[in-house]
Amino acid sequence: MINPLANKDIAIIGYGEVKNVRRSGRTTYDVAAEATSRVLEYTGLGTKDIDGMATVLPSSEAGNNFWSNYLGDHLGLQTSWTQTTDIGGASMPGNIARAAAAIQSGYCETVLSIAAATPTTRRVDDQRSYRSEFRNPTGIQGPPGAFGLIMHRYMHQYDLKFEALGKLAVAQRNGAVVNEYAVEGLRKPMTVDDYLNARMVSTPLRLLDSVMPCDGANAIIITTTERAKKLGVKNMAHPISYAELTNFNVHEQLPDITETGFSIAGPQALEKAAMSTDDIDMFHPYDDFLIAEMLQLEQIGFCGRGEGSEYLLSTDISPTGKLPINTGGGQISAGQPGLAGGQLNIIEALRQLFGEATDRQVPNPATAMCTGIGVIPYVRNWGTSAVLILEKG
Amino acid sequence: MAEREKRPRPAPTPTNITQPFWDAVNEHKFLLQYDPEAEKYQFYPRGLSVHTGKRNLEWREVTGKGTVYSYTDTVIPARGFEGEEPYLIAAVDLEEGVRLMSLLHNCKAEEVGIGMAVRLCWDKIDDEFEYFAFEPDR
Repeated sequence: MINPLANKDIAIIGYGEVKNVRRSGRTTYDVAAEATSRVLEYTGLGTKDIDGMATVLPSSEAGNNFWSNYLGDHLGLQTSWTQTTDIGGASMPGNIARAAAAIQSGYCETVLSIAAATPTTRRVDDQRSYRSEFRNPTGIQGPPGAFGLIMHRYMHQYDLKFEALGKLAVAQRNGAVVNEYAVEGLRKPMTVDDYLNARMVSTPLRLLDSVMPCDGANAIIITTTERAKKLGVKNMAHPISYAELTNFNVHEQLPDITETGFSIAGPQALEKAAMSTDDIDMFHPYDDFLIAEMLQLEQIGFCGRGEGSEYLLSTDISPTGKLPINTGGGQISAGQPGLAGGQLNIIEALRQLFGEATDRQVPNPATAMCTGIGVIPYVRNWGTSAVLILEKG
Repeated sequence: MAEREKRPRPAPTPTNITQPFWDAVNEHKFLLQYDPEAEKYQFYPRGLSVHTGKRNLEWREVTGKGTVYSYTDTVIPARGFEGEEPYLIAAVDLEEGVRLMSLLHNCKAEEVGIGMAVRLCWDKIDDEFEYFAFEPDR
């Protein structure tokens, strides 16, 4: 299997993050500027050192079909490679692979990969096709309704223990409590009973199964390992494997909706890296809903199909445990800054690999797996599944 | 929690692809796209067959009979459904081999189950538009 990342010639050399805030009143450009300024400060680079930019199309700017032009202009970037990716929460892990390919092909050398979204201040997205005709008029409660359907079907086929989801919720909340970038209102400890007693949104999915939308931004800088060494950066992490799948099972009219593209992309990413799940020191999965993390654990291969509940209940998932999961709170407890949330868990993985996670530091992690999920199709599971493996440089 | 203001239920805007489908729904008929080469149906309506990539699709009227594949009881209502909560949404496998999603009427939350027989029924969205829904096929 071809793995263009195998020789570790690409490096992520820094991160910048903006605190998650609900209804900030700020523009997407302003939060993007803050995240950019922070990652430049972290790496010691200036705007003129950046010659490539990758971003995600956020709902707060989706009406602008020149988004990356406007964004790069606002940030003072002259770029020879410019990319907007619109596969939702998979866009930002996807951008690392796309940036690596662009750098390896010689189109640019140093890429700012920037995610910014202010959906609790402004939403201008307009999705047609199945959504406007076959979803919205039915009364289904958006993503929570879709995941309610997935959870009931999972319960029909397998054993779902809500205590296991509660344990995951509590573990992530413990991370948010010590994460200064998390939405302030979520930085309070919770118990498994709080999860079990939370209000139903769309059965059997509860309020505490879900993310809290907010405004925010985050950015990383990707370059060659050679340039990183010349720059004398204090930290680097190599993307060493990536796999992505969009519109899994699209030809099937009666698919198993508990099954996702991770059943292909997960094993592929591991095979490309010549790794097993035992080689993954931390798991930072995309977490729109708790059940999505359990499906990923099963389908990537951390445990068998239908064994997610037992796996979570029997595994220490805290920062000092066997498999730390979303140690900064994830989107569920730190907040989901729209589609900028797709890079939130990557930032946490970098912070951990760089040894900068303070109160929640995982002891000497060498590897991390991050994932992305994009879009909810018509009565199916999510549309894009992306798996990224990082290694400390 | 404060009472949610009731907004109009979203109505579909028919497109050049879906106009025949919605015209039929308004006459209480349910049409599916059928690919005669693959001998398969598909839903939602598209501009080509996902099975072969050809624009060879025929509209065929279907039985409207199926079984519940999954369901959810909506406690926090979607836009346009304020005050109707809780209400059931079902994913239904039709006998023709496609899956649909809509409201499940005339059924209590404690009665619904996966595998339950259901049939299509019809909902008025407004004076202009009807929509498809399901009810138990008792």
